[in-house]
Amino acid sequence: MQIIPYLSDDSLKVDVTLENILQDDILKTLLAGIPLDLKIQGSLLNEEQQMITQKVFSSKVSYDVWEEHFWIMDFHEKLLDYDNLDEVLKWINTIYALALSEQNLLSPRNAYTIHIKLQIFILGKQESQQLKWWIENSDQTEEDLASRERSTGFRLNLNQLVQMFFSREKAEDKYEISKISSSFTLSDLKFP
Amino acid sequence: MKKIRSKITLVIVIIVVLPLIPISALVFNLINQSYRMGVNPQVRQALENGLYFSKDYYDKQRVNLSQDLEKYSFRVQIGPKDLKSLESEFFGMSDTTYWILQSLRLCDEEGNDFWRFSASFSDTLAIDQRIINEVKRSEQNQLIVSDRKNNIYTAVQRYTTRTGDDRYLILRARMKETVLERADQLLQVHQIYQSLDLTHRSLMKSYLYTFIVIVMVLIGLAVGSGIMISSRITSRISDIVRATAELGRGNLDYRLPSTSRKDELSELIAHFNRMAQQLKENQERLVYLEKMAAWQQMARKIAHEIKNPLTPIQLTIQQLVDKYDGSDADYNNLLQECAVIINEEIGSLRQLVTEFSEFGRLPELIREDDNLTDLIREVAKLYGGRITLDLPEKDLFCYFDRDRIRRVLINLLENAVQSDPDNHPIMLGTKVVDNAIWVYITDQGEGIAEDNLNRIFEPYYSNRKGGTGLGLAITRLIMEEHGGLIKVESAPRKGSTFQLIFPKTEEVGHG
Repeated sequence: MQIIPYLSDDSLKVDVTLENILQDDILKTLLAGIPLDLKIQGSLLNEEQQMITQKVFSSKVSYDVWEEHFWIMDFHEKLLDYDNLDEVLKWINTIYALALSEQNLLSPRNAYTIHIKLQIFILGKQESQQLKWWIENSDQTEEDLASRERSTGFRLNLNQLVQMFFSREKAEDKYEISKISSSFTLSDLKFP
Repeated sequence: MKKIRSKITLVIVIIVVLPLIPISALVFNLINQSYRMGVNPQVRQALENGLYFSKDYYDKQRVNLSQDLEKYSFRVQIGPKDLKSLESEFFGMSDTTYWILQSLRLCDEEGNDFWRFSASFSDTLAIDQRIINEVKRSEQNQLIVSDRKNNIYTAVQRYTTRTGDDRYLILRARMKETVLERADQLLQVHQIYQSLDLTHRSLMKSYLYTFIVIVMVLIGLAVGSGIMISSRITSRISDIVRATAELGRGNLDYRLPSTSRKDELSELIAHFNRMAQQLKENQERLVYLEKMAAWQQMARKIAHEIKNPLTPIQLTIQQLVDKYDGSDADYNNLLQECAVIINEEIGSLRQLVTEFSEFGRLPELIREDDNLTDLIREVAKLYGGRITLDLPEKDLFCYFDRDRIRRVLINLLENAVQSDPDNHPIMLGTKVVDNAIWVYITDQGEGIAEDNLNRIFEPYYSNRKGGTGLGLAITRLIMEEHGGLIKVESAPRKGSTFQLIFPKTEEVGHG
């Protein structure tokens, strides 16, 4: 991850370049039609590493399996569409112009650093719900449902117990990277 | 006792936990294998193939829609201008293999309709201008816009009239639901498969944690029941240990609470209580016999010391009487009277000495199996109609000294007679309780005060004038020597009941 801060439109902005962020598992999930939620948390820190400001930018990437078409709601809430994966990878590898702070709120001589944290939520709420339903009901055959109708006693659903742990344990459905930029002053920064 | 409890609990836990170790490995392997039976490359391949065919099928349907639109476009451009026949043709063929055609319209680039055939009101609404703009921007003349969520497909065909104006023929259709649903179901399963594959580790961990929870519950139950079982066993053993220690310290009155449970420990407690009771009785008997031996020794000594001077006293008095010549008639009378009194007192002392020496030198018991009922009948005859007998039909036999027991019966009956000047009947009977023979004598006499009940069997204790206080002492001594007991229940002015308890024959021991 590379963090490039600059001044533009009276704001401190940052470009973030990434490399091969969409790994195999994430790509397979996206191409199966499961949308990816992306969240970038940008924090501006002073010399003492205290946070001055923090902004959160969200984006969503989805793939229409039937139309073979990618839809992206980018970090600036602009709808983009692409026909092939390369364009999507290109888009995600360079994230432009994330505005962190107004320039007049910052001192030109002070040193700052930027902490960028990118999170990719591979399974959204809907998919998690679907998976939960699948796990909870995986033992329900027709015979089982019929016998349950006849039964009035206590029934231990192990799948619900599994589900309880699964909800807490799930970690693979989130990918996260973060980096802190090198220290800079506003006077160091170039205008684009 | 804590050690035994811990050991029992530990053993139960080990018994539960040991099989769980191989079972855990087996369960985890089974879960993994079950998971892999559903989530494996073959299933992925099959799902992807299914999706590929669905996609192919979907594309063909779109082509089909496109061809339909081209067909209508050709008719509109070169065919007859008879819209009615076109309309009837449109509605006549609206239900195709894959599609249900909804509307067909011709409009200009602003979206204004020239004409329109609509199956429903929703299809009469104006066309979204963005669609026409998209076709205008596109290099191709045809565009299909899909709204899968609402199942509306809009196909737009652009053509240019002879006058150079652009016209847009727009065909709206719905895909047949069954096809769409099945394709979506397949996609959904594929997505779940992908999610499962992605969350493989978490899922395995979740199953493992579930298993661990179940194991922990089982271990908890095992520990709980182990503690409960061991406490139930060891608490009773602790009681027995405590009771034995008490017994060792000489507390023969200590008893364990009996339980309704029927197990070995309950039997042990019952045996312990019986043993403690027997120890107490034996100790009391021993103490009593030692005391009586001391009393007997004293009685013998007193008898000897009193008996020896009696004859010289008697001879001396006789000599005094014989030697006096009788010159003084008054003195002679006094001498004669005194001699009579002294002789009477010497007689009384002799009687006392005889009783003392009899008590002091009780002969050895001569016991044999004999008919106790017969003896009771025999003694009762001595008292004529005063005695009411209460005897069972069958005669009772036991191992006893007939003469001594006769003396016991006579002692008790004499006491009963003397205590009741009103001559009420005296009940004499027998019964068998727990294989022991009980003989009871009940009178309706003066009774004995509660304070005196504990002392009546002591030697030389008597409430009667002239009594030596040896009768009941001898009675108890005889019963103790028989290994039996004598008990008394009494209330002042209501009478007394003396009970003689002869032990079971096997407990007394012959000879």
